[in-house]
Amino acid sequence: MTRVRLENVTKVYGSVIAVNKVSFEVESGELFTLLGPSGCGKTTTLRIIAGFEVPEHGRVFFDDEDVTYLKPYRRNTAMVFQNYALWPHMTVFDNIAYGLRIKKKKLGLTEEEIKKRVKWALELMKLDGLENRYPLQLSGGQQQRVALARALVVEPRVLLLDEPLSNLDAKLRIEMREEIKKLQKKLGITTIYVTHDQVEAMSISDKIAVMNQGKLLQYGTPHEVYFRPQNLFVADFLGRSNILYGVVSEKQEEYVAVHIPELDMDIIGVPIKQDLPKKVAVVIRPEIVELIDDRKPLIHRDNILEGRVDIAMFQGEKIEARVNVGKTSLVVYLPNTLNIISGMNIKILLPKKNIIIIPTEET
Amino acid sequence: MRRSIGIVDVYFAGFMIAIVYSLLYYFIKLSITVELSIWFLGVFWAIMLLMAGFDYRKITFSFSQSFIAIVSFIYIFFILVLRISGIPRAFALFLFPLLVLASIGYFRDKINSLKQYYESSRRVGLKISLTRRIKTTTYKLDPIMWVFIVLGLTILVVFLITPVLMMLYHAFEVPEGKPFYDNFVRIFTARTYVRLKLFRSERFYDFETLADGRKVLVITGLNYGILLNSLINAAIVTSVATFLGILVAFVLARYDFPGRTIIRLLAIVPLFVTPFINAYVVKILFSEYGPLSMITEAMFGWAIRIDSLAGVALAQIMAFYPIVYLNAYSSFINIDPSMEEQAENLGAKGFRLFTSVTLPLALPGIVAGSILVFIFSLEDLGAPIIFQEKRLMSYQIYSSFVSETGIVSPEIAALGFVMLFLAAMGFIAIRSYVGMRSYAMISRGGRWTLREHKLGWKGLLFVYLFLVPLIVFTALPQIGVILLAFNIIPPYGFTIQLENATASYFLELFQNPDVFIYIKNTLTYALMAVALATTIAIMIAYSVSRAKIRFLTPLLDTLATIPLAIPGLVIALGYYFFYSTVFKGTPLDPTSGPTVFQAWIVLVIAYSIRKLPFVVRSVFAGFQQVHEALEEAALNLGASRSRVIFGVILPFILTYIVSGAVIGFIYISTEVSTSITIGGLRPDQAPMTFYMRSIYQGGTVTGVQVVASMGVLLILFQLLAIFLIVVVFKQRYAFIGV
Ligand SMILES: Nc1ncnc2c1ncn2[C@@H]1O[C@H](COP(=O)(O)OP(=O)(O)OP(=O)(O)O)[C@@H](O)[C@H]1O
Ligand SMILES: [Mg+2]
Repeated sequence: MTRVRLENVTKVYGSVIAVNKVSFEVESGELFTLLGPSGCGKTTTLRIIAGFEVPEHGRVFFDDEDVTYLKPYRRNTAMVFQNYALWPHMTVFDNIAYGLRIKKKKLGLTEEEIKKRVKWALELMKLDGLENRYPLQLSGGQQQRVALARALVVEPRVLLLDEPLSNLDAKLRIEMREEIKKLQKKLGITTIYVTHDQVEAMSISDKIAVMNQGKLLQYGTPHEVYFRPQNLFVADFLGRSNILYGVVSEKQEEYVAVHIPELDMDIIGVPIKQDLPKKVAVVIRPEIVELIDDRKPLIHRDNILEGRVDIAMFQGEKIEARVNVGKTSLVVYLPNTLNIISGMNIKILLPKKNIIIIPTEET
Repeated sequence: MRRSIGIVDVYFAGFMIAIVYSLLYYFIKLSITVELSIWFLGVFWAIMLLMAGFDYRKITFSFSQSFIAIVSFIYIFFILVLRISGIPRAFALFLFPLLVLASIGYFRDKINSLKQYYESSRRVGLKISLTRRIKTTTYKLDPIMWVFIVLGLTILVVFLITPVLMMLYHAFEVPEGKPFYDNFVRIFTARTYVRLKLFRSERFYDFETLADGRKVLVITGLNYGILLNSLINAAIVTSVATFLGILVAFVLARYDFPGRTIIRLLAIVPLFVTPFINAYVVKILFSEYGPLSMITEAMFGWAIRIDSLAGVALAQIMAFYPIVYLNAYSSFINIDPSMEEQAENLGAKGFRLFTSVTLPLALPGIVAGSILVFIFSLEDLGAPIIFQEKRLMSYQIYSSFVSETGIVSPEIAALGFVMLFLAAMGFIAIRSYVGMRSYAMISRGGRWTLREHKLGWKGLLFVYLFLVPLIVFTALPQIGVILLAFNIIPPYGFTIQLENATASYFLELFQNPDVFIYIKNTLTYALMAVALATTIAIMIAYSVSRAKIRFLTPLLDTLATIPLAIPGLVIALGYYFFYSTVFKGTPLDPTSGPTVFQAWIVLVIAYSIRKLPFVVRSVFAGFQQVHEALEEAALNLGASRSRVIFGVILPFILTYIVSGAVIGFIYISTEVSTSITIGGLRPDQAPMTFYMRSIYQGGTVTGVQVVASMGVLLILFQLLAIFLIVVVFKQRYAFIGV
């Protein structure tokens, strides 16, 4: 099992910095996701790990071996390309067997053993019976599984997946992502997964790294990056957020009160770090908001807002409402059992332990 | 409101300078300082305009403006070197501010992008160390890539660049005591090269009385000297060919009428290469024995003959206009119909629609075709040799090879240099503006249904009375070649004699060993040259499509394309100087005499380099078919680079490679320029085209039918090639220059 470590990796194309001083470490057997908007450098990072590009700065390590300048065909990574890159002139079987045949001598494999291993991969990916077809005769999902089988059959040190599901339809995407996750755990193979779909990233990853404009902004478990975003971009990119700007008015032990001019009141929340600057932003996830029932006694006194429902949309599992408060408005998710309609006046509570306070100035 | 400074102001500025010049020139004598100040005034005006806010990108972005800038560059260059004054010079001054602005714009853009590059890399705060930079570059290059790049570059530098440079070097070889540019002074001033003042008695046409008493109107054209003749001829051929090409293309692309498919096929017949003999057919068609003379004799009592310069122009127009036609045709059918529909929707129609939307969108493709015609016309030898028109640059260069001494003079090298300069300017224009071709093709993806209209009765009349006869007429040379080969028409006059039809001339090609040797030579050389060219093409095409190294790969790309733009005669001259210097005293030395010189080696190399672009283009298209990820997937699985290339990629694009080879074979077997010059230095090793040229031996015509049979053989080769490529390999057949 292999650990992958990037140290200050930088890649420049002409005047574009595709990857800017990126460092991270992937534990062996971990499923690590690079997440970010289009053009942020995910593919480039992955290609550096595979060895198709070399960084202008920084190094890449597999375990403790420096592989920065190792040729792609000596790295023993296996990459699944976004467009699958299946050779159209080879059958499914030949496509999958290709890597093994290349390494036949080195591994001392016989044609018999190759056949056995390809069979294993076919079974694993539920492709039995398709081995004599050509890639163009397969559906998108099947092609995707062939690409995966071709990568897995060589028992790579690292599996690299570049948006492997982006060409599939929504339902298949969900099925396949479960399958990939199961498979990865079963084989225990170190995997780096690229996607721009945050739900996909959070559902399958052990760790997520969020990138923007070539920089790695934060990495950690899905839970950490979701609930403890280190900067506004991450907060905004993952899930939905209401962001209000203000200045710190008072520091308590683990909480901070922030004065929000637009609401003309203080909001209390948890700061992401101790030494906050004066100007901060308050991040309120729509699902943490609670509706206050006037008939019941109040337990909390802080973070209570009164507002008028601007628009309420019933969405099945929840109600999404936009509530005008002060000079601004918040998006809130409310339980689908409530009877909320536009024009209603409501009182909402923002539980302070779930409010995140982030510095606005980039440090 | 302030009016922004536009292109009108640029022309206004030019107009002012031209006025100043004319006043001074006609009323006061001009001293050299005054003259210089006027030119400086042009530069000054341009800078003023720029400072006043003229957006020079208007010139770079506007296709027609930048085209005018390039043409004015050539024009001003000649006005200056030929020391022409008066109205032509005033016109040059009129164009001057535009030229200055265009060049300032060009250089400013270049400098800006460099600056931007350095600034942004500084802003990044990244100092990439040199070793790291080198390491990054070399990392991408496996040993095999290195071999490809280095070998490809070496071959092109040694066998393309060096010979041309050697020709340039010899162009500056002058008799002792003369300035180094003496040869050029001669070319630009001597009366044989430049005759601005004609004799009073010289006329464009004349009447002549034949020995049998018939009266003939002979149209010859005017002789302005070798250099100007070539330029004027090329200009006329280009304009007429462009006009006809656009006309035919537009009608065939946009209108549907009965018989269109046949007409469309007929329109490309002139592109079947049949060196010399097609020009010969043109000559007899327009001689006093030809069909046209029969008509005029019946009507006016005199026959007509188109000869000399006029004959060359006519033959070239007929042969080359399909180049424009094909380019224009593909441009027209590639225009997204919604562009025209949008214009119609806004109320444009007819001629207005054509000039405001259709033509501008198709223009890049059309201009590319026109410029190719310009280059081909300059370097063409077929028509000048058949019409025995010696007062053209191409004929002069050719005849220096067949002189008694067999030694090519430096003056001819200088002439070659001028020809190269003209062709290179045209080529630069293509390179800079054909990129704009893409704007004609902005599409929403997918195939669209072509916009086709039915023709009204006026249109039908036009098509059947003018267009169809025109197209049939331009196909006549090739048809005539076939008729000649089977002796259906006699070698001189013009009568159809089906009863005389015989295949004996055609059979003679294979039965007469003195003739067959040329066919054998051509076939062997072409096969060897194709093998060589394909190998080089694979190396270059792969490097260009995969290795992205700054400067190096673009350079390789350009080098592999420019043989298209270098006139064959320049290559011939270059090879002459190259081999007679570097291989002095060996059998490769062209001056070593007609029994020692091994012309075949020189020819095979010359062929493979000259026709390389055709092969590279096809192979390159193949590599582009293969998405890079397919290759990376194999590398990723542990296959080495050479294994990927030879195991995965090449078998996959085999059809492209074979197509490239077949096209290469066709253009090599019909090659003229080096075959009859270098090949002429060793007649028994010469190829078919050399034999075909001998139709004119010392001014008399011999063996027309045998030569025509060779033409037929070449047509058969070409038909076979088209069949192979289009039907068997399902690729596009690349007609010359398309
Ligand atoms: N070969 C290249 N040459 C020049 N610029 C490049 C090249 N490859 C990538 N870039 C640039 O580098 C940046 C990062 O590209 P990259 O492909 O890594 O983005 P990405 O995060 O994978 O985006 P997407 O989600 O759209 O696939 C982009 O701005 C892109 O334009
Ligand atoms: Mg990507």
